[in-house]
Amino acid sequence: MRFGLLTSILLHLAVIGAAFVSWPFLPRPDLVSEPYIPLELIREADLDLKTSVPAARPEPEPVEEEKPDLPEPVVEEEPPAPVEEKKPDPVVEEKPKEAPVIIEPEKKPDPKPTPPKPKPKDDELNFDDLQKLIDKERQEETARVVETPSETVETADQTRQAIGAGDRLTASDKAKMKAAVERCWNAGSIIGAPEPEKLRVEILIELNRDGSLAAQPKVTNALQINLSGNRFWKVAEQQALRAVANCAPYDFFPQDRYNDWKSFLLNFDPSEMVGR
Amino acid sequence: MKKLFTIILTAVFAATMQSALAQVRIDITQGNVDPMPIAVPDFLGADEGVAELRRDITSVLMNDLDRSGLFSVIDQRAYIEKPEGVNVRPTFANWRIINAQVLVVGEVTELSDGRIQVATRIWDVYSDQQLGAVAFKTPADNWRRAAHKVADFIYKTLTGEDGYFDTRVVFIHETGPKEDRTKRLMIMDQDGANPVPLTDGLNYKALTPRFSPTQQQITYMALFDDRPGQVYLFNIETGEQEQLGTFRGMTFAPRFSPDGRQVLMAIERNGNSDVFKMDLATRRLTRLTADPAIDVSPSMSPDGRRITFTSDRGGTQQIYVMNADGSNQKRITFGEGRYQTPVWSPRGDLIAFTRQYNGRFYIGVIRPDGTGERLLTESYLEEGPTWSPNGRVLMFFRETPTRRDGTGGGASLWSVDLTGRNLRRVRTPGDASDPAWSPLLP
Repeated sequence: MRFGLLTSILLHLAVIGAAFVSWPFLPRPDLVSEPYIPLELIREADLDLKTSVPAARPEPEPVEEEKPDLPEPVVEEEPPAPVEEKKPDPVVEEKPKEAPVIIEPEKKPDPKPTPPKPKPKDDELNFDDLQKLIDKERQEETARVVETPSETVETADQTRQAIGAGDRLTASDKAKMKAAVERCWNAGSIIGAPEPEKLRVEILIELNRDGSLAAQPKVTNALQINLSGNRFWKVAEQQALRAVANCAPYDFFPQDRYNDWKSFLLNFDPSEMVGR
Repeated sequence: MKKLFTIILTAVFAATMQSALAQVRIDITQGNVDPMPIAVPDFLGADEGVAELRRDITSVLMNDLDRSGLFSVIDQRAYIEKPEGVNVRPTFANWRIINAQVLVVGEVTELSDGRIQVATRIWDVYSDQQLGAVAFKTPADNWRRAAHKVADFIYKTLTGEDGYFDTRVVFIHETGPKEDRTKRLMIMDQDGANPVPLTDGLNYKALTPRFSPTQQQITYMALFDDRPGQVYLFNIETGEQEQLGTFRGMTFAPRFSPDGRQVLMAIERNGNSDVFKMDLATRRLTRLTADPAIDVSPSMSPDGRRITFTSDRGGTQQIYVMNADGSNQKRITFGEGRYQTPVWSPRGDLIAFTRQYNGRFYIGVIRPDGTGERLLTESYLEEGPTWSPNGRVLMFFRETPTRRDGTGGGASLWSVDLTGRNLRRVRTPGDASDPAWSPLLP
């Protein structure tokens, strides 16, 4: 019994020991640089405005004059189509109460000349008041969002956690992080060192929500570096630590996915720079 | 009991795996090679006697760091803080604002015995930590060396390898028309300061000086009008000169072994030249190659076990490597054109060479196993690479083509980092060729 227990403990320790020792040395896949492709994001709201503006604008004068005008350049066969196309304008005028309400506020100055006049029928519902009402509601909404941002974010995080945390950073997020750190990684002295391809440094960093470093970065292969006695490796370690500190804060990640980017394992590997 | 153990072990194992899997791993593979921004405010010093000196020392130090290509000294006009003292902790935020990664604070004080003390502290601006501190005491007129020593200390602290600023360079100073040049040996600091002629009044036709890696001594081949070229030893400190034996043929391309006890050279007899080794204590000569081809330009590896040389035994002049006793001779270059003057790096990892190909000259490096050949510079005519004592920088000389009107054709010294970056001209008093870099001064 005692012998069995002892053997069991030893075997368990051996397994853990093997995991600790071999984990960092497991063969890694070849390094493939993911190019950082900058993307310009357009908000949905911006798109709305852009599409709605042309729809609302053409209304005023053209409607009637266009029929005589258009035929000239487009030749006789075409006229019918453009006429129909222009029709939507009056439609906009007729349905101002529902949909256009949202559009109108920004367009206010433009539509004035002609379209607003056909609407007098609906005048009982004072349009200006309605607009003010909407504006006010919008402001309140914005204020509410500004006041309670963290609450909203936290709820989102919790939901995600419930689903299951994991490596959910997009390739673009990773590429951004890679580009940011590489910009600060001064490798000039490392690539001139003897056997620079061996001077790999692995650093674990933890980030706060604002992208600043939450703790002192940890060099996970520090023991290996110290035991090697290679002073160039020690300098490579300092350069990597300096790069991590210089580049902070890393404030370009989406707040609602904090769990995904709160820690990184950065592998500084100069081998690609020296072509090995 | 057993169950408890199993549970604990499983928990520990699970925690380890969990933490290993939780992080997102990112490979950082493309660093920048820009010089590291470093702030060097004027050295402090309350004593009136050192007012000039502290600015001169700062200036030499800044020049050393800048020329290395690894550091870029930030313009002093951008500094928003004046250090209060070498022993006062700076406000790091003030240096972070100007993007300094490292701050050097120094102080020069006059000692009661007339000497000066140069104290320096290096700070890491981002980690708010001291990286190192050093102080030198020296006679005031030796301030230039003190500045170079400080630069060496900073270089070593930040790069991990010894510096090369407190060194000297011997070169050939050339004057007169191209057809009838007067050549004499000259020595100067590595930054071009303090040039002093070593051999005045002698009319050499050709010279190839090589520094001893261990002493302030050089060996060179000198060719005079009235006798065949012979190899000499020259003691820089005493000015003593002696011929290394008298041989029937011409002896040339001498170079010290890394321990400074032997000189490798080529001896030419009846149109054939071979590589020999001479023990300086006994003056015994040992033949290392015996090939009917022309074997020249030997250079020993820093561990003293192997020798590189060039030979045309394969048809064109190429680089070979052999054991120190002459055995196991292997060709390591197979490129087109001609390879000349191989020099083993003091670090041992590379061999520098001159390559002549298609009417152009190149300075390049190659690993001793023949892999990784890289050409670092190219021009109309350049040759004679010599390594800085830390094996990081190469100095060589270039000649410009002579124009029809007789102008041009001048020779000048250049240096380049072994990565091929930071090509710079070295300041010399007039035309200069055949540089030989000294070891670090004691």
